[in-house]
Amino acid sequence: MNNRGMAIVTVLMLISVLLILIISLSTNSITNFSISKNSKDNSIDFYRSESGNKIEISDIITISVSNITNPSEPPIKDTNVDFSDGTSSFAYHSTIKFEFYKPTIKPGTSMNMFSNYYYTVRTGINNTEIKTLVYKLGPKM
Amino acid sequence: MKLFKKIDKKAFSLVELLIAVAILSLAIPSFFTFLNSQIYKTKLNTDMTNALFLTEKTLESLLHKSYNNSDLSDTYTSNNSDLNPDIDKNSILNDEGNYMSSNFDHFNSPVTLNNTKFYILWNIAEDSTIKSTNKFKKIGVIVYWIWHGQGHKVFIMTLKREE
Repeated sequence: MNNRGMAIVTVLMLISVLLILIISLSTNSITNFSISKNSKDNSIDFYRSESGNKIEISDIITISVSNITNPSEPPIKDTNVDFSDGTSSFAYHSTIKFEFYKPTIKPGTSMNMFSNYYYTVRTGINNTEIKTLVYKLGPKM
Repeated sequence: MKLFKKIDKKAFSLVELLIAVAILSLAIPSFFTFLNSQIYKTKLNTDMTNALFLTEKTLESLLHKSYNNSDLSDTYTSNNSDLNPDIDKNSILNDEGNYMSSNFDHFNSPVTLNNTKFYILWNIAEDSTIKSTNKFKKIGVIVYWIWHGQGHKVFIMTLKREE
């Protein structure tokens, strides 16, 4: 028995260990970088989507409920809006769901004259979506 | 061949030694360069996460202020002398590419996290192009930092509606 061949085995083992170390380090930093980038992009999309949401809600708040001719049809339609923020423009999609709500009125209450109008506003950019529920009190249909 | 002739029976030949030196001189610096690049990337990730946190924190604090708060004023229009002049008027994002300039409406004191200095700036622009009948202000927050002479930034924009 002698030690011939031990050197090559040791070197190969050392190279394998180094390779594993390099691959794991590389995978780790690539994954972390993707996480940071996704987190940043999602945050940007979230605030842009929220901006779109604010615009749609402000329109709903402004609109007069007396303009509603058909209770099943929302007075504001779903929209695809290109929204410029100065030098760049981005698009958000808004979906507005409208519900005409008839409250159960106790006999003898004057609330009989009013109805609630519910709006669900969803705005989305890429994979980020924001949903807001808005309601207005208006004259009874 | 003299080159392949071993000096001693148990020793390496000259070519074997040359190959070993060549491998070592290439492999070791490559490994350390790679290691360094990974450390650089990890640092960049940490900085980006910190910058994102600072941007969101600034943005949220601004969104909770009243519409006419001095922090939400466009310094070009209000011409407030104690604020940084927004020399390019209302263009909120034109400064994005040149974020290290001082053409921002407002700024906070720099924050140091993990030995990196983060600069917090924001621009305000009243917007009349939005289809809504309500008044809106655009708020664009930039947090930037310099690492190894290279600038990095996180930029987020949102709207504030007049109450």
